[in-house]
Amino acid sequence: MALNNLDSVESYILDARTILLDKTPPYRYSDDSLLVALNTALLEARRLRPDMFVYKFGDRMPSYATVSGEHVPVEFQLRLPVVYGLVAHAMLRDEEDVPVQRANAFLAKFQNMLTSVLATPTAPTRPTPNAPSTQ
Amino acid sequence: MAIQKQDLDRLMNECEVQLPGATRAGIRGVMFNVMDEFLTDSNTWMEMIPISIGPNTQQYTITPAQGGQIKRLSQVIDMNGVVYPGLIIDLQPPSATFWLTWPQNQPVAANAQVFKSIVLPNQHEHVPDAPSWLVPQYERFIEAGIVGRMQMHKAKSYSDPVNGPINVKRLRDGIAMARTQALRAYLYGGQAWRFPRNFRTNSQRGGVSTPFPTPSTWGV
Repeated sequence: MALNNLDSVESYILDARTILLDKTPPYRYSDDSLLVALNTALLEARRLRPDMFVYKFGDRMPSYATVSGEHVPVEFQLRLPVVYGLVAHAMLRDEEDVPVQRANAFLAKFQNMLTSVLATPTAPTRPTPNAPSTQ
Repeated sequence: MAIQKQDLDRLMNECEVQLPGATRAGIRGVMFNVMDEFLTDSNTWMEMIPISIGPNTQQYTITPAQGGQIKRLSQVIDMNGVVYPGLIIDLQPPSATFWLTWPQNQPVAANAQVFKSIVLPNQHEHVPDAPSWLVPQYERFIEAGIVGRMQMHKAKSYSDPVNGPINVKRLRDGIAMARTQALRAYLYGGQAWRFPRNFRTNSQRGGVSTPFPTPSTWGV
């Protein structure tokens, strides 16, 4: 069985916590806040790539209220951008000195992977010495 | 009659290889448009629909028995090769209602030759309900059409405004070739199955009075 194939809500949250360095309770990012970030990332994905959410009848968007094994209907090739969008949205509310830069980088990766072929590089996890502040 | 799984899988794979980041749902959506354009413009999907022409009845509604929707009427022809002039007066996909120009005075068993295209609903997983021969026969043109139309989408990972129009042009070339092939009944070196319009001795637009034909106007 695959370790994490980004198939369920739980797997998205798990991968996001890995990137956020938040795998040990008590969490900095609550489950609820990450679920909101996941739902928001899916909404933004819908804006950029409506073909990700095509249904035979009607117009609806998946959203999730619990961390569970519920399936997230995103095709394989676009699952990683959703993780980056989730992480970006979660980081945007952080007030430490690094995350805004990283949040913007993840947001750019998310959007670029949906709208172009290559992803932008991620910002470093800690500030570069003598680098000008971006905040 | 529907598209075979192995043909569909190959077509989808070929398209995905050329369209990085494209969704299968998006490809299937464009596939419907491309197949509709191909079949509508090439007149390659034909069906002979049996009809019973009754006395003094000029209006008939016909429905394809082998899938698809009627796009245009080619001719109404009986077992003796006599063509009955008529025209379509209403389209109710997948059916059509046509009007015989001249009423008959006795029952006639005839066939309406129609050209069709695909129609909703789709098959399972949004796959268009197209004829089984379409992909094996014209795969490279259908594929070029799908890829080209998707490349012309704006702000997508697979957008390619340079190669998109080139691929769409390949689709249009394929449609022109298929239309000629169908017109010549897929015969090698065969001529079109009807004479040019000015030389025809019968047509759908009148001139042959079927109720009381005279030898000079039969022409068949």
